[in-house]
Amino acid sequence: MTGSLDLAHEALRATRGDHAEVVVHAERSGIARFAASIVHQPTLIENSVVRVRVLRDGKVGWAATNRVDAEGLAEVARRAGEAADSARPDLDFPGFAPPAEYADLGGYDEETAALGAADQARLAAAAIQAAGDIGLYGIFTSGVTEIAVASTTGLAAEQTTTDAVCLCLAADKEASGWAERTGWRVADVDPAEPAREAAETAARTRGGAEIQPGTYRAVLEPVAVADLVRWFSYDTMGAQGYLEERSFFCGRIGEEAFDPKVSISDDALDAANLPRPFDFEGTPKQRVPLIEDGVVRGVVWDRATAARAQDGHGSTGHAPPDAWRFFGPLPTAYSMAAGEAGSSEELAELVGEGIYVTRLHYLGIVDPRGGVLTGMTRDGTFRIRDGKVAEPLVNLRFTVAMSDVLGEVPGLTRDRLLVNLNDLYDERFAHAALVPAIATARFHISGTGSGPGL
Amino acid sequence: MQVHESVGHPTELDRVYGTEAAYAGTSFLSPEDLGSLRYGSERMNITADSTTPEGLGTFAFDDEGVPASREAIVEAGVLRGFLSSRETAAQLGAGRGGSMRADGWARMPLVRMTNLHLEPGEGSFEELLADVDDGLYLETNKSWSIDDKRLNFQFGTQIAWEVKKGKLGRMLRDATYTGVTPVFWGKLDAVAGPEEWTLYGLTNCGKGQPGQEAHVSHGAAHARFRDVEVGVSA
Repeated sequence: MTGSLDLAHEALRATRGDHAEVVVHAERSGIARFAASIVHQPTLIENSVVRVRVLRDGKVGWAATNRVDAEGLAEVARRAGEAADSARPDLDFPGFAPPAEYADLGGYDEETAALGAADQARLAAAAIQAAGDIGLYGIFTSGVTEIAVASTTGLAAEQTTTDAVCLCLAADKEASGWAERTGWRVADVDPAEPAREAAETAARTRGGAEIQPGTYRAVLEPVAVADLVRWFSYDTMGAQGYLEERSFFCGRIGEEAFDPKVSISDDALDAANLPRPFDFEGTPKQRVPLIEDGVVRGVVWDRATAARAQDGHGSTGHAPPDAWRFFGPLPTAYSMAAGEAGSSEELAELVGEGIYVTRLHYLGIVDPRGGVLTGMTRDGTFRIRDGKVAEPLVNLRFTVAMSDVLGEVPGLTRDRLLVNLNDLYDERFAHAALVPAIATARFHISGTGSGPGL
Repeated sequence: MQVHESVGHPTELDRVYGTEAAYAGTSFLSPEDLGSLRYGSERMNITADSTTPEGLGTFAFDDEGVPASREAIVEAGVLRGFLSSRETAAQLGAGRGGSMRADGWARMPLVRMTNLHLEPGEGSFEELLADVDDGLYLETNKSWSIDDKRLNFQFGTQIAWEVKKGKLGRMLRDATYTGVTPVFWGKLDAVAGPEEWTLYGLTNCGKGQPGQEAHVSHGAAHARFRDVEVGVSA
C-alpha cells in the first residue's frame, strides 16, 4: 500500500488535457465485528482507489479505478479525458489547487499500523471478556489510510494516518448500555474500558419507565452531543447548505444565537483529534470557528463553493471525499470547547430535575433552516432527580431546535471524548468529534418508544 | 419509505436475531411471531419480490446463489415471512434465504431488502379521497427517523394538502406524521388499485459495519390511514 503519491504521479503522467488532478485513497484495515459476544463477519480490506479529474477546453471529467498497474492507470486517465470531452463547459470550475506547504501533524502510529487480523480479534475478545455476563455487540477496527493528491499545478500532498475504534453495546432483552473509544494510537483505545462502561450502564437500565412528552432539562453524554452537532452541521455548517440557504446560519453570521459557553470549531490541525493537514483537493486545512462564545462565525468551504460565492471566500480545506461530494464541504474534525464541570454527575447537579441521555439513534432533519432535528435516545436513558441520575427510562423520541439545545447550557465537562463519526461506508476516512458532555436547559421530548434492550 | 423503514428493516431476520444490534438496531418482531403477529389491517399485503421487472433489487440469484423469488411477508395484515439468508432461514426453520446482498467486492453479504411492495387494493386516488371528510394528503417523505426496534417513527414530507369533504384543499408546509409501526399499519383502511401502483427506487439503504448501501425498490399505490398523529405549518 506504500507509495500513494508515486501512484498519483504515475496516473497524472498518463493524463492528456489542459490540467489534471489525481487523488489516491488507499487503506489496509481490519474489522472484528461481534454480536452476542461472538466475533462474526470479520472483514479485511486492502485497496487503493485512484480518482482522476481532467480539464480539457473548460470541460471537466472524472474517472476512478482500483487497477493500479500501468495499464489500469492509463485506462482511467483515458476514461477521465473521455468524460471531459462529453461534458458541457464548467464555467464555475475554480481550477485545481496550487502547490502548498503542509504541517506535520502526527496522526500515524507504528503500533496501530502493525495490527493484523489476529490482533483485531484479540482486542475484540478483550472487550467481550471485560463486559462479563452480558452480551456485547459492536466492533473493534483498526487501519492504515493513505491519501495522496497530485496535480499539474505542481501540487503534491501525501498523508499516512492510523486509527483504532472500539464501539460497545452491552445488551440483553431488557437492558442496554453504550460506550466507545477512538484514537489514532491504539494505546489510547483499551477495549476493556468501553466494554465495562457499557455493561455498567446496561445494568442500570432494566425496567425503564415512560415519561410525559415535554421540554426537559438534560445531560447529554459526548456520544449524544457529537451526533447532534454532526446532524446539525449537514445543512448548517458547510458552504453548500449556506449558499443554498438551507443553513440555520444564513443571516445569522455575527449573531449571538447560542449560549456564550458554546464554541464549536472544525480543527483537523489538533493532534487530540484525528489530524489531517489537507483536504481531498490538496488544500491545507484551516481551523474554522463555526460558533465562538455563542456567536455564529461561519461555515467550511472547498474551492468550488468558494468560487461560487464570489464574495472573497477561499477554501478552508474542506473538499470532501468522493462519496460525500453531493453534500459539498463539511466539517470532519468537530471540536467543542470544554467547560468546567468535573463530571457528568456534576452536570446532573446543575440540571436538578430532568433526563440523562447516553446515545441517540437514527436522527433526521425536520427543518434544516430552523435547525430542527428528531431522533430517539437509546442505550442508557435515565431520569435525573434532585441532581442525581435516577431511575431508567424507555427510549424517548426527541424533536429539538438546536438553538434551544445549545441556547442555554448550564455547564459542560472539562474532559472531552473523541467520538467516532466514521460509519465505514466507502473508502476508510476516519473522522471524529472531540466534545464534552453538556447540560442543556431545553431538550424537547415528543414521544416515547420501546424499552431498553435488544 | 414507510414500507421500507417500518416493514422492510424489521423483517430482516439478522436484525431479529440481534447481529445488527450495535449499529442499525434490532426488531420488534421475534421468530415466534411468524404466522400469528397482527402487523396491520386486513388491507395490508406486503410482498418481497426480487423478480420485479425494472426493480433496483431485482436479480437472478442472491449473493449466496439462491434464485430470485416472490414471497409474502404480510398477508391480510398477518406476518407471513421474513427476509432471510440461508443461515438465518435454517435457524428459524422457515424460508429459504434469498435476500443476501453485498454492495461490493470488499463487503460481506447481509440480509437486505430486494423489492418490497405494498400490494395494490382497488379504486382510484380520487375514490380514496372521496371518503375523507377531514384529513391530510401527504406526499413524498423527505426525512425519516425510526427507533432501533423499528417501532416509533417520525417522518417529514415534502408537501402536504388539506383534504376537506373528499377534495384537496390548500397546500401545507413542513408536514410530519408519527406513529408506532403495528398501530399505524392497523389504521390502513384502503390502498388504491393496480392502475395507481408505481415502482419507486432507493439507492442508499444503509446497514452493516463496515457500512453498505443497497439499491432497493418499493412498489406502492396511494394508501389511506385513519387517525394518524400529524403536525403541519400553515
